[in-house]
Amino acid sequence: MDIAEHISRLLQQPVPWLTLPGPESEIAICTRIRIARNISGIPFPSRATTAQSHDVIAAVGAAVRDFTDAGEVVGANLGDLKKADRQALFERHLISREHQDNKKIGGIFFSPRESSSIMVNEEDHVRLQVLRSGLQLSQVWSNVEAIDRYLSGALSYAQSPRLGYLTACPSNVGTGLRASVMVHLPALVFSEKIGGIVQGVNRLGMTVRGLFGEGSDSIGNLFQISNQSTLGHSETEIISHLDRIIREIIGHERNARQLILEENPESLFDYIGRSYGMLRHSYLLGSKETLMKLSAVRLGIDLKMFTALTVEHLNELIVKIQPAHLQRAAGSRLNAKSRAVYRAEIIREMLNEHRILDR
Amino acid sequence: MICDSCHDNAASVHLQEMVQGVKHTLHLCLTCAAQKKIAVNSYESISVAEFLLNFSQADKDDSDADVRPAYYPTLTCSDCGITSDEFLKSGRLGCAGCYDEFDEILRELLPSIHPGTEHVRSPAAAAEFGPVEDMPHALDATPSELGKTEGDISDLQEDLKAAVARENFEQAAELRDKIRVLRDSIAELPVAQE
Ligand SMILES: [Zn+2]
Ligand SMILES: [Zn+2]
Repeated sequence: MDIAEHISRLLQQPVPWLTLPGPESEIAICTRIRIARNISGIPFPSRATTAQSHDVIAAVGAAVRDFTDAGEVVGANLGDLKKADRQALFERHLISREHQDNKKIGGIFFSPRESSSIMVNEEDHVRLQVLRSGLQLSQVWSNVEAIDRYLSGALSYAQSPRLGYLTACPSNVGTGLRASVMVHLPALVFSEKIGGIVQGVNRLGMTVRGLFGEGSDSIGNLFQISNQSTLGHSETEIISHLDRIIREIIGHERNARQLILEENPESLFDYIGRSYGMLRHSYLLGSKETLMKLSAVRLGIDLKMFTALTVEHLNELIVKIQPAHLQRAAGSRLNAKSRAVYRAEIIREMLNEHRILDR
Repeated sequence: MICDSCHDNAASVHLQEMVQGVKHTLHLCLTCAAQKKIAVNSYESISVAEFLLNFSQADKDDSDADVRPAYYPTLTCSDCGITSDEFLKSGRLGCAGCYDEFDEILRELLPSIHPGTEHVRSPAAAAEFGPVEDMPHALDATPSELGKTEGDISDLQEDLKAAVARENFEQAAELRDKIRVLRDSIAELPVAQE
């Protein structure tokens, strides 16, 4: 089986790590840490020759296979993959939006559970990332560190005693580390406390972004919180600082949920019930609308409003209802309308098994 | 993404703030961030109004603030061939050697992006490299400051924006000073023990 086939088969399954239960998963959806590294003696990807870039892919591939069971790691040159597959890799958080179109020199390696991946020749030669569900910063960091230790044994990284790891963009120099946690904060949004929280988080040196790190609004009340800078603080300082901030935000969200529940339970249940009803009975669902309604259902799960429905079910849905995944499941190219039809069908099917409980 | 200030270079400094539930993002290139002396290193976000008023410039008491923009002679990296102009335009370096070649520029730029100027290693890693300098203040700020005085500041920022919109700069300047005082009071909040 060739690599493209292998990848396209993986893409028909749920993302393994995202459908595992994680700590604090009622509010924290997933944790991601990535580090940026470059191989010494070779210009950064934007200035490297095609031959040098392919050497980098080969060197990283050899290093990766050296410390894993060769058969277990999936690796490919992005140029060997169809556009839909590259897009699907993006939808599964395995590669960045930019890397999707990096056909000429881009490479990707990832573990079977898709929790660790290495983008090769993105902005830097090596972008290693590890993902886990829930809030698991220290666990994810120890995974990253372990893989980094292996890789640095096989690859010689560009670094300086004063500036640490040298990266293509000076905003990553030093640790090369970006740690982020995706959190679901509907109650803070409803109670209009989110603005103050975002300001406070910014002041503490962290960045807040919407879902998938693009655009200005955070679809579905999902926020990604990550460290802003990489020079001047060690990896463990950055990570423990982020961890403290996330835990504090979770506390604020819990309080806000409690407050709404005490002050205005009917309108909260009504909002969640209506959102559930819409999702369960619609025949055309746009992606943004779906994410907004799923946000309400996710909150309902925390409030024990449903029979067996779990946040992991929703995590699976969120990946499945994206364009490339819908197309793969349908087996053909879909326009926006047929995606809306297909999306609604998938959601009706899943929600039909999960009833809302009478209160 | 293009810089919101010069509309020319690629932006690599991103500042965000939330005003009444609407998020404003300011994307700046390294040059503009440095020229505006945006105090990313002071671990603060700035508002769009502040930016327009060159608010943050006053935070750093710098008598030579008006001498900017600094003029950099064009340098070329002997390893990869990019020029310092190309770097400042794209925000991306060409190779590890650029860090030496453009050292002078980077020494000025890095403090506008990062809280420190030197790499700090985690304790385990540090042992191999000898002792590390004392870490700067910023990480000592505790999350428990969250939710305090933001209300006041964001109210004032609203007023400030409105004042700027009305072009009432006198009032804007007053509001700006009030915000600064509040900010300082936050900075002086005691560090909670864990
Ligand atoms: Zn600019
Ligand atoms: Zn160079």
